[in-house]
Amino acid sequence: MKLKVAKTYLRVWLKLTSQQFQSQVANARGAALLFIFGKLFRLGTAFLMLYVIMGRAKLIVGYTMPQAILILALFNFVSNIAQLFMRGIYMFRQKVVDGTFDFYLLNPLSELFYSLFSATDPMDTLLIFPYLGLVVWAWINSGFPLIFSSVLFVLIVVVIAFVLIMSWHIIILSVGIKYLEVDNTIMLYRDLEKMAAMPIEIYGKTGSAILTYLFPFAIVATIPARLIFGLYNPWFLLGFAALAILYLKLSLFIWSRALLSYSSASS
Amino acid sequence: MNILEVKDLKKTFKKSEIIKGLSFDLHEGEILGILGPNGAGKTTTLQMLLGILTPTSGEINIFGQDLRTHKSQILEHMNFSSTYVDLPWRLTVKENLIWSAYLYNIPDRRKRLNQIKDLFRLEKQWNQPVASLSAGQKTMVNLARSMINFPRILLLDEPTASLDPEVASYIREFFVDQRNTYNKSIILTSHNMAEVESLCDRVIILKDGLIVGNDTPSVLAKKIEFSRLRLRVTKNPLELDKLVAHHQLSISVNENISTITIKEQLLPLFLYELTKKNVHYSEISIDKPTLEDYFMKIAKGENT
Repeated sequence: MKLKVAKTYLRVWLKLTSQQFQSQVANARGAALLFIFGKLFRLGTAFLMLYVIMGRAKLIVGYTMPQAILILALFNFVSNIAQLFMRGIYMFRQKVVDGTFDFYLLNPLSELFYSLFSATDPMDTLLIFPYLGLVVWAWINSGFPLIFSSVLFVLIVVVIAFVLIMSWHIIILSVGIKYLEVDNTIMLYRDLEKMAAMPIEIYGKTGSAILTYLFPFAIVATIPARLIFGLYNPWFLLGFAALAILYLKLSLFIWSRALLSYSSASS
Repeated sequence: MNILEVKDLKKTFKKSEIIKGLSFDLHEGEILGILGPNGAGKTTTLQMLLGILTPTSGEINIFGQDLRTHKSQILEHMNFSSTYVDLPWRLTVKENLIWSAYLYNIPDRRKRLNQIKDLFRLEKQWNQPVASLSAGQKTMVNLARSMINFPRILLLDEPTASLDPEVASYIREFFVDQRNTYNKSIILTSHNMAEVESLCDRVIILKDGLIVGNDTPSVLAKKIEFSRLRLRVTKNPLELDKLVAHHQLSISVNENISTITIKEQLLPLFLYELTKKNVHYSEISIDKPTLEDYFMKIAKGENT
């Protein structure tokens, strides 16, 4: 029974994604190219900044250039996976206003599934490969071996990070229902998330602690990097997994409270 | 057997209580009408039954399962047609229905789509975008979509609004046939009282978020004691006036037709007395109380 339900969700997601892709290819080819260019340009400027900093100091809070690049590449890789699946969040306010969200609520599939994953952006898929290549390149050049156990730990971290990012996205959607406001909340989230693109040690002890335990964006890049560098006990991942589950439960609670105040586009 | 049970349902928006504790049920194979003046809470109630709105408190059990915890499973066997939920307007009629078939995991999609196309006479509009359709055509597409998953319960909000009389009649017959043949349960809201009276086995009347009437249309209509007697008087009209005054009845005259509001029990005696007083008339009609009369009385805030 559960397999049948999972198959339905998968089929609907594939259909939605293929429609999204067809629509982009047919209607917005130029915009899609600009989008990819913009993303690569942003990554380039981040590298330029790192290069400039590293030109003045050989180490950045104890990390070498390839190690800092690895953190930046990991950040972009994980963040890109999340955006690939949850790009639809940017259109959520419009969906609440024009009644599409009512349509989500009426369907036999979860409204949360629709709200999060109904606009998977295939353009983000194209960026996964350069980011992944960069991760591998920086890993090899950081002087730490690319071994199975480390890769496995990093994959586990990516899954935990995805659950955390999804929880934050659910909270953003809840704000969208409650206050019909998504853009500023996303900007706030993106700014906080962006702090994790650099080694979190640059924010000092308090900043690091906040980014590790309160808003654990460190899980996106610094923590997997530390695992690779042997600076982190893999058992701590259990703590992060528990934190991710806690965040997910909290976000689902906030979502259910937001739905309670939802008054439908037609009301 | 109850297929849907609502217990003490309440909905509050920003401290304003819209639904104040509704309890009702729907039997298998029953057509239930929900009526009420504007702002009574009909749409809010339907939206809670559909899962669009989350109740502030109370219970909705459908097929013996709690809607809060089994929403997806329940919605697989329910469907709706409403003017307040737009279809994806850029898609064609065919694409809209294919999409619905996907969502409800319909096994033989092509066969089902062809059935639906024929049932709802959508051949001509099949490849047109929904945005280009008239209001009546959109209603037909909405109705077609609502039948795609062979629902056990159908929620219909103004199902024949914007349809021409012939198509509206076809749709009414279609739903009665669905009930008779497949034992489907239907909840219907409409401002067309004649439609509700002819279709519904039972009617719930809402006012200010509360149920003020719950019975068959005929029983509700009988709660109105007065009938309307219409006469075109041709001889002795003064005698009629005297008789009306004697029984303390109300009368209005329009284009030589006298309309007298009279209790049903008094009618035979009144007609006998008219004959005795030699009042002649060339036309006579008696309008028995209807659901509309009952509804009007509720809407005006009079006690029944």
